[in-house]
Parts: sequence; structure tokens; C-alpha cells
Amino acid sequence: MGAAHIRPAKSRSGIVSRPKSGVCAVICVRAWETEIMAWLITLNLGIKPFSTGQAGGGGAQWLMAQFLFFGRFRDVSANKALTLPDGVKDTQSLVDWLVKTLDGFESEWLRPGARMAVNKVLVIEGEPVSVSDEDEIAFMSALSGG
Amino acid sequence: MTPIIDICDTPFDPEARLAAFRSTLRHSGGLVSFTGIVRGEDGIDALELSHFEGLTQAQITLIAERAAKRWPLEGLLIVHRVGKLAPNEPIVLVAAASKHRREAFEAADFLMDYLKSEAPFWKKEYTKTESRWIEPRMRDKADKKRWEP
Repeated sequence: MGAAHIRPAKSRSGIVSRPKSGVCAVICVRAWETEIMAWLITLNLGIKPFSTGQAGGGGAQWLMAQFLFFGRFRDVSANKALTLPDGVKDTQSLVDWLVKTLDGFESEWLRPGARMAVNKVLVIEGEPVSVSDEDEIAFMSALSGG
Repeated sequence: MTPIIDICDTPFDPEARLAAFRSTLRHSGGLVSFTGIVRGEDGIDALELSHFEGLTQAQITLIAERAAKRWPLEGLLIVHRVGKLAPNEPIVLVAAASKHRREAFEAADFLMDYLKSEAPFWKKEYTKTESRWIEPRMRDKADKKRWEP
């Protein structure tokens, strides 16, 4: 609730656009394997399969990084569709790319208390972690609960 | 001791929640509670609380576990609202029960300080004409620091 969920942009045909065409076939196979495994888990254990990117026309699904923006970052993201580009392999290069891509991102990132989480694990400043299309990446401004 | 943690998107009744919590206690001699409510000052029409669904429960559980390790508690209750709230609506209820009052006072104080600084919630105030994100105060950081070794 309240977060700006950024999903990959779809073309008019409903097929998700991917910039990494060179590795498309491999990813497609991996996505199919993931899908099959997820449904096998569903059949055997009765649990819900984990979500991947949106399906194309044939029912195949691409794995896509999911971006979440919280607090002040919600205003910066403005519901723009984001896809991890080639060359962005870790959280440091991801921040560098977002600084260039999203207006106002840099000033929010430099504010005290701003933090990032990959797959719900907080990233420690100065210790970049790898990111890929399978990850959930969250940006959070300073917390103000209670 | 298993803490009761509830993140709810509809209004809650702090008195009813506290009474239900108290009815579960068997050995406590002290029950301390704190209720945070939306201030109605400065023309504030509403307060929006957003959170990181999927992380919030885990993070609050960690905070509660830290409190349980630090003080001998019989029970902990944490109720936190999300969504849009009107002035005077309760935002948060924290309650700590222990055999003696000092532990209950300190645990409730600790929980509130850490909820402010470590739980993934964000507040946005709305007036008739504008909205603004609420920033953490220096006081919040200083309050949390009191508990660090």
C-alpha cells in the first residue's frame, strides 16, 4: 500500500519490451523453467507461485526487476516504467543510472536516512550488492513511523 | 513470549485492543501502554501512512524481539495503522506487560523509539491546499540513541 510499483512497459501487442535481446532466449528458457517449477510447487504444496513479469501473448513470462519507491522517492519515480539496462550489475551502478534517469533522484538519495533494499534486505552503504532482473529493488526515504 | 503485531488499514479502538491484551496476561504486575494519535493542528486535514508491505511485519518483529531480550516481559502488543487517517484517529498502540512496572515502562519507551526510526513507515500530511512528507526529527534520533550501549 502506498508504494509506487514500477512495472516494465508493455508494447501495444502486449509483449514486454526487453533491451537485452542477446540473452533473450536464455532468459525465456529460464523463465519457463521458473514458471513450471512454481506451478509444481503449487500443485504439491498448495502455495501460490511467486510472481514474475507480465505475460506476453503466448503465456510466457519474462523475469523483470521490480522497483519500489517509498516516501519521498514516490514523488521522484512518478510511476515511470523502469527496466534494468545492460551494464547495471550492482547497487552502485544502479544508483549511478537512476541519478541520470530520474529527475530529482540524486537530491533525494543524498538526503540523510535514504536507503535501499534488495529483496527486502537493506544495502549497507559502501558495500554494493549485485542486482539482476530477478530482484525486487526498493528505495526508501528517511523513516517516520510511530 | 510471542509479541502481538498488527498492521491494519482500518481504524482501531485502542481501549478495546488493550483490554483484550490485558485479558491474556497471567503474571504481570505492570502494563504500560502508549497511543499515538493524529494531531489536528495547523489545518491538517489528513495524515497518510504508507509502509513497505512485506518488510514491515518482519522489521517490527525484530524490534519486539530486541525488547523481549532486554526486559523480562510477559507480553507485547504493537498495533500500527496505515492508510489515510483523520485528525484524532489513533496511529499506533504499544503495550508492554511485565512483573514489575519499571521493565514495562522502559520496554514501551524502547518500542516507540525504534518504531519511529527502524520500522518502514512514512507519513505525509495533507492540508486543504497541499501535502508534505514528514521528516524524522533530531529528537527521534537522540531518543533512540539512549538505548544504544
